[in-house]
Amino acid sequence: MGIIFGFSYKTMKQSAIFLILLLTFSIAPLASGHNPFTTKPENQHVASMPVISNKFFAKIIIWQHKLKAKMSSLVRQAESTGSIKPLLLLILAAVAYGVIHAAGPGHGKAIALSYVLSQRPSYIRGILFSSCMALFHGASGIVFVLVIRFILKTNIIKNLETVTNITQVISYSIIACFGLGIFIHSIYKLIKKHDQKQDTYETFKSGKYTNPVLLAFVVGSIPCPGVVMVMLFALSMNLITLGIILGITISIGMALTVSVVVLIAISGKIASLTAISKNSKRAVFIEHGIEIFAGLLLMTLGALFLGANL
Amino acid sequence: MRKKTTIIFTMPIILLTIFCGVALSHPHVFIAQRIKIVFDDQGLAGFNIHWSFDDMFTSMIVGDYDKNQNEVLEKSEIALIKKEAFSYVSNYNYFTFVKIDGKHFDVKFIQYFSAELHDKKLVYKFFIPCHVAATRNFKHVRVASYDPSYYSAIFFANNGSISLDNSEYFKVRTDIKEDKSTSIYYGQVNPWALFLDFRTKQ
Repeated sequence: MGIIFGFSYKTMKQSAIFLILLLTFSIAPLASGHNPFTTKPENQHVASMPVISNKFFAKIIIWQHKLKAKMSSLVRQAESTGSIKPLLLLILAAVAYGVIHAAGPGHGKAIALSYVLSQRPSYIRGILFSSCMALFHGASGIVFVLVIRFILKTNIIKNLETVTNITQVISYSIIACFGLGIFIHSIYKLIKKHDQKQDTYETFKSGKYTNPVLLAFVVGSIPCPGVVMVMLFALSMNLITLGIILGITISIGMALTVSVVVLIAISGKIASLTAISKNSKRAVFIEHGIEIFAGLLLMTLGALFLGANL
Repeated sequence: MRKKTTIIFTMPIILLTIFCGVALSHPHVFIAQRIKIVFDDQGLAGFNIHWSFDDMFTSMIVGDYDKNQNEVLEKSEIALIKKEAFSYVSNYNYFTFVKIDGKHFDVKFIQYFSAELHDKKLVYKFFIPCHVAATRNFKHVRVASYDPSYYSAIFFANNGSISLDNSEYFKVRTDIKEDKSTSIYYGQVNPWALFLDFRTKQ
């Protein structure tokens, strides 16, 4: 049986299958982010056979519907009575809506996951990245509505499509380049460390981090249509401050969900590396393998999304 | 043991990645649908579709298209809504997927589009022509309603979701249930559909 970097061919083959499966499942459900009422589809989407059937997704849709209806009625109540009584309930509903809204597909969770897998595992940085990403996502929706309605005083729907498209093209281009950078850098590090035979896990762990806030800004700069709609609804009743509060609280809810996803991923990575850390060579190799794969995943996701928006 | 631990802790990453998906869209628009099944002398003539939108999508459309802000949509405003905030759904078969005796029927055009505000909710109404001649044996028609782009979620309204027009000469059975033969939203959901059976009475 052949050995590469201390691994048997069997282990290498299992790792390769794992990575291919991960990539396949990650990029399979690619869908449009555009409003079908106001734009032509980039390509026709066809319902496919189930990969994994899960009733949870159907429940998410129904919960979102109920929470949105609840928020609408509470905003109307606040507007008609002039009371702040419904405010607490409204904020709770908005946080819950954010949590559930981000639990469905989207909101950059796959990109967040790829990013944290490409970095040294750190819970604080993971939370910082995911929270900033969700908050930027919501904040860009708030800023968009305020600029279009109060400064430019023009059509929201047409501009939402244009702004979304421009920010997506910029964002995905940067993500693809960032992924390529991680991919090349990780391969370079792996070759260099192997040549120098300095591959102890302790020295590896002391590696540098990439600034999480910058990438969070890049991923989160695309306006969240959910926040845009809530803002517009509040504005239709001249409740600008309430609209901003709701936009922020929805973003906090989204941040909670994305943070949980990222924290579980970091836990998984730490646990996997700890389980094999007795063999420093193997731990370093696995860490490099995850980094290379995560870089490849970021690059692929960025390129796929970019292609869908050009 | 080590291998087992590794598998246990890497599984969440795989599951999370599958769970997360990478799609950009998810239901942002919620539609309560009512269908009036219209018959003529020969049999089925088509479907009158009634979509009632959620408050937030309503405020988005009203903000942009109710130019005089009088909470009434006039002819010119409706024409603009049809052009800019409805006609594109023709690319998605107007979110209406019909099967007649198991064979697909493509919804390529609609008639009599109108938009109005009803109880502060935006309502779209339109007619889908779908001619199926009645015979002595039951014809089976299935109408599944969903947005393949995942941007909108369509539910049948709680009350009066199905009604009949000019059906006196036909034996008609209707049912609303999940369409197990169709999977949407990346295979996670079976859409709700109208199951219609009809035949001549004699």
